[in-house]
Amino acid sequence: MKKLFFANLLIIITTTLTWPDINDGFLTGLSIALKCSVIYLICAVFIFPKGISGIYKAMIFLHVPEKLRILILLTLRGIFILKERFEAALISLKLRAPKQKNFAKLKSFTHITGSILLQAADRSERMERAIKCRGGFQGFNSIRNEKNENVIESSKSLLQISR
Amino acid sequence: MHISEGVLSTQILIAGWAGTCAGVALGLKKTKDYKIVRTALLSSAFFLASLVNIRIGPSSTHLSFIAPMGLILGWGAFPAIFVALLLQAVLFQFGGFIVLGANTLAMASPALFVYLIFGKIIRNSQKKFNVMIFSFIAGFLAVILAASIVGVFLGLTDKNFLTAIKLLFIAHVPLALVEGLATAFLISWLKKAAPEFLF
Repeated sequence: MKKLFFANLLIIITTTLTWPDINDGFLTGLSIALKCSVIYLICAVFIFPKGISGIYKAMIFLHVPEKLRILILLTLRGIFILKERFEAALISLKLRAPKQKNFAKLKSFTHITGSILLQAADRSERMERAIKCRGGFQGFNSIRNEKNENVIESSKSLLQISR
Repeated sequence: MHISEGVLSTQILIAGWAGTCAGVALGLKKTKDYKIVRTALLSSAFFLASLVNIRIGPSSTHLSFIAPMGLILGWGAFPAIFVALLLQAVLFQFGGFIVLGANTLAMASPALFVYLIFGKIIRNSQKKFNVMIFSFIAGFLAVILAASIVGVFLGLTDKNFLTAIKLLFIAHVPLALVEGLATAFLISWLKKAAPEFLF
């Protein structure tokens, strides 16, 4: 709510100061702030409490392509996986070069980002192999309901291969 | 760079969603199934990198990495940026759901533009200096283009936004310079460490 308040205040100030007519600008800013607040409150009541799994289920209902749904879930998972690595890398940078500033720091940060991107690419290859071993994306997500038969089928075929 | 909810007109919101749907559909079609995991993890790495504040001079900034996303993910940058903005809206309440289409179009089109114009040139460049120069231009141009698209959206919504658009554009020039430098450092490092990594 605090964030919303400051965002709305910024919008009202900007429109008031930049509009040709101050009164018009203030009213426009106020109407934008009102619309923004209403949309935010609707989202806060109906969407945010549902979390990613709720949004995922809604996307299944809306027939959003499976590739996109998997991309969203994997990106979210990837954030939690890579977060620790990023934090560790940033702490090590601080310890190694505490007085580093400006462009030297920017350069070090981009190199850290680069190395984490390479690690992420390596990890993605391993994850992809693991997903394939579990029967591909059909067996990827347990909260998906509509293709359970495919999951069972692919599990059976994997069992046959393993025997 | 995020446009707030309630600012844009309905027509622009619909146009934004139409453009985003087309871009995401094309991006998903061009991204092969086996590359989805790679796209997702790289997208999350960029997402995390863009959350870190870097102190430059008297102020601090967070990078958007629009150009590196385009240069590394290619067409996959469109769905990756869409997902990143969706997660930002859900997790941090940045931007919003209704304006997500316009925000995605404003940020993903420059990434795609940069990939189509500079991708091949950077991949084929052998000298480090050339890679750095082209990457810098790509990073700079991506931010300027994104700011311009936001400006166009605002201008088409209401002509009275003109002064605000000018302010927005001026505010983005130093950010574009920093982003250009970051892109130059990142791409030249990747070109040296893993040249096959660039799309």
